[in-house]
Amino acid sequence: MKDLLTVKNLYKKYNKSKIIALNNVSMDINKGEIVGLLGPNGAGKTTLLKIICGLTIPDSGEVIVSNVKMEDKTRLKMMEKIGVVLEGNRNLYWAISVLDNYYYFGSIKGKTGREIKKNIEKYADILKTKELLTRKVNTLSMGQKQRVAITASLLHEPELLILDEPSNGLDIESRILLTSAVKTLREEMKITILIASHDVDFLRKTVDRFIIINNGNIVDEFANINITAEDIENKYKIHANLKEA
Amino acid sequence: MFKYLNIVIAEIRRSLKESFSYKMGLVSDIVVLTLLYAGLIFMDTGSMLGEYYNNPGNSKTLLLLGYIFWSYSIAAISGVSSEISIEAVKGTLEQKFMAVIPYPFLIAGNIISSLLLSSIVAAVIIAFSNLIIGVSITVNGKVILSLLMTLVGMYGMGLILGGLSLIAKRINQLTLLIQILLLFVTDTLSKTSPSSAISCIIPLTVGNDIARKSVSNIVISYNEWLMLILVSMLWFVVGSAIFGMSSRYARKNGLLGTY
Repeated sequence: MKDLLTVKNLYKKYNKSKIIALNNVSMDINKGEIVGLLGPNGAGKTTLLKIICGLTIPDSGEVIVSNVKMEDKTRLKMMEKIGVVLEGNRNLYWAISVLDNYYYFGSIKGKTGREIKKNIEKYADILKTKELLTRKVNTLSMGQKQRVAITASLLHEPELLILDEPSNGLDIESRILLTSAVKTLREEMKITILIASHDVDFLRKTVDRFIIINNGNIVDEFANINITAEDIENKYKIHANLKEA
Repeated sequence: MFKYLNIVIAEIRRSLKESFSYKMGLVSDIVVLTLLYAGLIFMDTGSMLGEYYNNPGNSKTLLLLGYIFWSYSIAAISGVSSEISIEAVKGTLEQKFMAVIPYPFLIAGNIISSLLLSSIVAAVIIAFSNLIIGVSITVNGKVILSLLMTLVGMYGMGLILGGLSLIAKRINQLTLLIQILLLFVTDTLSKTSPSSAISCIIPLTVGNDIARKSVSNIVISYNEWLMLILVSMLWFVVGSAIFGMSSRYARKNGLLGTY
């Protein structure tokens, strides 16, 4: 399989806190893969994601998405290739309807109204958000907001979808829906997905491969085969959220 | 080009829909700005304006014109700086930085929406002025042109505050202070002759002067137009450069997602 995302020797130190957030991190993600970036709070997951999506500038190293290196002159063009849902419910406008959010976020990623309408049909079906279109975001549950945010991030048909802590605060039913939707997105839409989380159980049910990050270093990576949440918790000292869904 | 236009229109629509969903915000803007204007009129503020512009008996109209210019200007400033703070708190700021066009174009869309809402406020103030005080205003092409040029410069001033807001986050009190100061240092309420050096490099001062001369049938020289263009472009260019540097600093230090 061909690499869709390549990260080479990323180094990032925040001047104020003097903390090394990433220490020469390198990784590859193949096209069509679902990868779980697992680590405890403060491990460097969010910094890594924000560098990949161009929100944070690294001190050194490079990010290549679909053969294009992230630089100042390529950053805006690369935004067409990446869809991102950041941690929490901070990805939507709460005072307007779901449909208005869809048109807005699709538009700022360069899509026309017609293209957005077509893609709403496609992705709202997979994420089960069709019945929510006329609702204002502030009337939705956590799980519904999360699915709406993911739908909004897909309307420009990105090659790479990045999800930061998508299972935080979700009930069991929402977790099942999310796991199923992520798998469908890969199977039917061939989207490559990178999920950062400290929720071992959610990742175990969702991803093809784990990348373990701790203290700004990639400490291990392995396929998600015959591995239990307890194994991971014991080996890497990462608390497993053992809700059986 | 079409992509940029499409996105700016999307931003205007989004911003208007959001503003109308918070109706009390718009109503309070109308009430506060109308009451402030009424207070200025009843305190006989700007009574010398008519004399200065050789238009005796028309001081209140000239005051109203300056006041409208000021209300649009503060909308242009808060359309950048306050909006950045609000978006940072809501968490949508980072999503906007992942748009396929530079962020200042999205801000421009937001400002257009703020200016449209300011037009509602201005319409209420003008109607109030006409019905209660009997002061009317005639808007001509030169007034509109000077207002648009003024707003380009004030947008530049907003970009400077916006850049600061990306790094320092909560600068709402500073923004408010600057908005109030503008009321007093830009010849909005009275006219000093000549205007102070600092006042002269604020687009609102120059724009106010041109608009008032226009409604007072005073010939406006090319130099005065040139001055307005130069001052506004200076603020726009400096503001864009500072905003660009600030957003790079914020990305370098991981500040976009914090508030």
